[in-house]
Amino acid sequence: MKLPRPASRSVRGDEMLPLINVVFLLMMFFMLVGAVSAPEALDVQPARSSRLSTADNDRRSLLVSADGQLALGGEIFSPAELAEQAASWRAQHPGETLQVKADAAADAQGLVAILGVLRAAGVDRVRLLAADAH
Amino acid sequence: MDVVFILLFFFMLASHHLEWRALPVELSAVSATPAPTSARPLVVVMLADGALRVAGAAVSREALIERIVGSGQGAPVVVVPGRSVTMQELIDLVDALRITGAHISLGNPERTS
Repeated sequence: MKLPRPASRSVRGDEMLPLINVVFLLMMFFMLVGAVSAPEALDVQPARSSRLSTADNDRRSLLVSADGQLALGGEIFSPAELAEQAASWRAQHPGETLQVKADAAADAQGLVAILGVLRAAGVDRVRLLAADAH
Repeated sequence: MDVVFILLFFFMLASHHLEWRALPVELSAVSATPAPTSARPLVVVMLADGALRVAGAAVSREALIERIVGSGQGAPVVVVPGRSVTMQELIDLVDALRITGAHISLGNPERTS
């Protein structure tokens, strides 16, 4: 059986359409999967854990870097200033949960001390974050 | 077409897939007032070389897990990091202990030692 030859494509670039479709799909995928966000104030590499609970991409978080520096709301400060910063954060965000993102190489004792300072400053809803191990 | 490719590369590079999630760890034990629980929590001190101490006695990770499993579901366990223990080491231990179904919290070394 002989099929009629399809009409020759007169419009130049018509054969590119499937490629454009695929590229658009890829673009949509990366737009949806990857959250484009402003860079954090401190470079914090998360500790890896295989037992994490619910995901939450909320941005209200206290960063703890490997060298013990802290950042909250884009402002970098030393642990000595934490009580003051935590109190002002609490005044601005009453009743909200503060997320703590600590570097994998950060001192665990220092982190426990930070949690104690937060609690003393009245921030009683605190969550510790890590990244998925996979 | 070129514009679409440029957009594609932009989103591939600008988006990072690192996702932070909450650790299922109770943080309230850090506070000055201990939680009023009926069961006495098992306090585990973690040293920098990965060794574990329960009430001053060295204990292996496997023996500790068996002990926690033996004390039933939701047993309270307080993990106290020692000097120069990193977050990754602490979270690895918490991960290992989570298998037992224990109720894990972090402790302050000054209060428990």
